[in-house]
Amino acid sequence: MTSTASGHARHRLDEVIHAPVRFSIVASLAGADEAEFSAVRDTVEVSDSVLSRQVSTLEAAGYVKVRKGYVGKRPRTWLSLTAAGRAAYERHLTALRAIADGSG
Amino acid sequence: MNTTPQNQHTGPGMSPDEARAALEQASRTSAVAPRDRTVYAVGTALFGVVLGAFVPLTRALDMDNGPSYLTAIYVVLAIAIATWQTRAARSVPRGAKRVGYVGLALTVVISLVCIMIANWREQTTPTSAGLLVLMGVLIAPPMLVAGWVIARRRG
Repeated sequence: MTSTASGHARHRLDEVIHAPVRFSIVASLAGADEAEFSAVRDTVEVSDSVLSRQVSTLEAAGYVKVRKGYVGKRPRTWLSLTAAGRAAYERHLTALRAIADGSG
Repeated sequence: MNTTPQNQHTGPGMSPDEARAALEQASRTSAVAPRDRTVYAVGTALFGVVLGAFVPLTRALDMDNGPSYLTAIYVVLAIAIATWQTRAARSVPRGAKRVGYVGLALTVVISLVCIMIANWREQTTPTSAGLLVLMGVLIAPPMLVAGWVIARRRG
């Protein structure tokens, strides 16, 4: 058993990332330096409004950075994980692995 | 009072099966499509090929304004590749830009060294065709390798 002083691994799950849609958003951004809003929307399979709302929550937590710009004349929005977001995601995955292994 | 760990739960709860399912989902979910990775890999390699051809050609052409035309063609090609990358890919694979910049830096350094050596040699002997080919062969590989690294990386 590898339980730590901080107790059961479920206490180390990040409550912002734990929500299913937000978890999918963060997971989809983990392998990218940045991704277009539409690419994340298609990957996570949610509507624009749902993605926008969940991204706002992640942005408020300091986990996601939103960048707006243009490709040609078309407006684009790019999403990326911040360093804090990556660190939080790694901690969350570590907690998930501990729970999955039954070692939390 | 019961103070077992189970009753001390204050954060989100999750069973081992749910945790495994979440990990499985995380490993499958990525906004980076294989096409995006290919676009960045091919674009980076193309930059190398273009620069690898540009430097020897500027040395080979001694006609009036030859290098100027070549520079214009090179700039147009570089902009075209960058524009294609930006428009064709909806995501930037993790580390792709960093790997590309490292490849570009090495390619530029090798280019400068080749130009310096060619200039030095030309004081005594004209640059041979073989040396020009060798310059291209030396200049392109860092960005070709960078493209290969981008293509092979996953997650």
